[in-house]
Amino acid sequence: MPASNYTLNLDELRLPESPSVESVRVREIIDSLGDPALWVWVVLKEPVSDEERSYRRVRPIEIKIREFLSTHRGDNRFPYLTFLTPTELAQETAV
Amino acid sequence: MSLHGDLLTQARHLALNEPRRPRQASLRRAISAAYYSLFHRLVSDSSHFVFGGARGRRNARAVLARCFDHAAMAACCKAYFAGALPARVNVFSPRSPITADLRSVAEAFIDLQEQRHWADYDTAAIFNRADVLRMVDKTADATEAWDRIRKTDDAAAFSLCLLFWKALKDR
Repeated sequence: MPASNYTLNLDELRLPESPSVESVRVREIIDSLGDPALWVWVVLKEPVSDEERSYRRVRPIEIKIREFLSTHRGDNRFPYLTFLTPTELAQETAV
Repeated sequence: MSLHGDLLTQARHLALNEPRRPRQASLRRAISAAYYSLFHRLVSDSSHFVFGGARGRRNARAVLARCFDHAAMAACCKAYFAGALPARVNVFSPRSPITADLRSVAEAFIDLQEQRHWADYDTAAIFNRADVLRMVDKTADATEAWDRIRKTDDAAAFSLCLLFWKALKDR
């Protein structure tokens, strides 16, 4: 069965202003435990500094997205998040 | 320094060692080292919880440490993260809701184990340094959270659950 993909609405997410998020893409996956799960690409607007990409700075975004998925969408699948730039996403997609 | 401390240091070193373009192999090993840092920390403390810290019990702790199952530990962490513990586990760990520190340890373990799986087995995956450092810092954060709670009854219950999850989950 093909994996389902969708994008979260940034207006609904109400993420912190910085670092600025361009898009949040979600793919339904089966994780290594064999459980249904979500893989979430958080695409950060460029330019973005290393400091803005640090754990301390992106952690509030991570918490917001996890909370949104479970509370607002009622989705209890575990979301695995990865943060990347559009350039890095293009490289990943090319592979 | 401890094995788990050394592994965390190694993870950061691997992620930062090549200043321009880090090798994918380095970033993959950084993820793996970060995961094993948290894994060994939890296993070590759980083994100490069962047998105590006496030097004469070192072999007992070492044998017990080999009994921990990665998948069962992650499944246990998922239940803790979701706040959905089996009734029998709630007898061990009566505090409700699960503390933020314990939840963050569980969350980090799930995240790290999956990332390690991708890093070690998915040759098509591409890792970026900033995201790998995020995972290393998440490991450090979870370790600090564990330090704050490791002597509590909740942590003791969590330790037992990590070890006996398969036996406890359906009860």
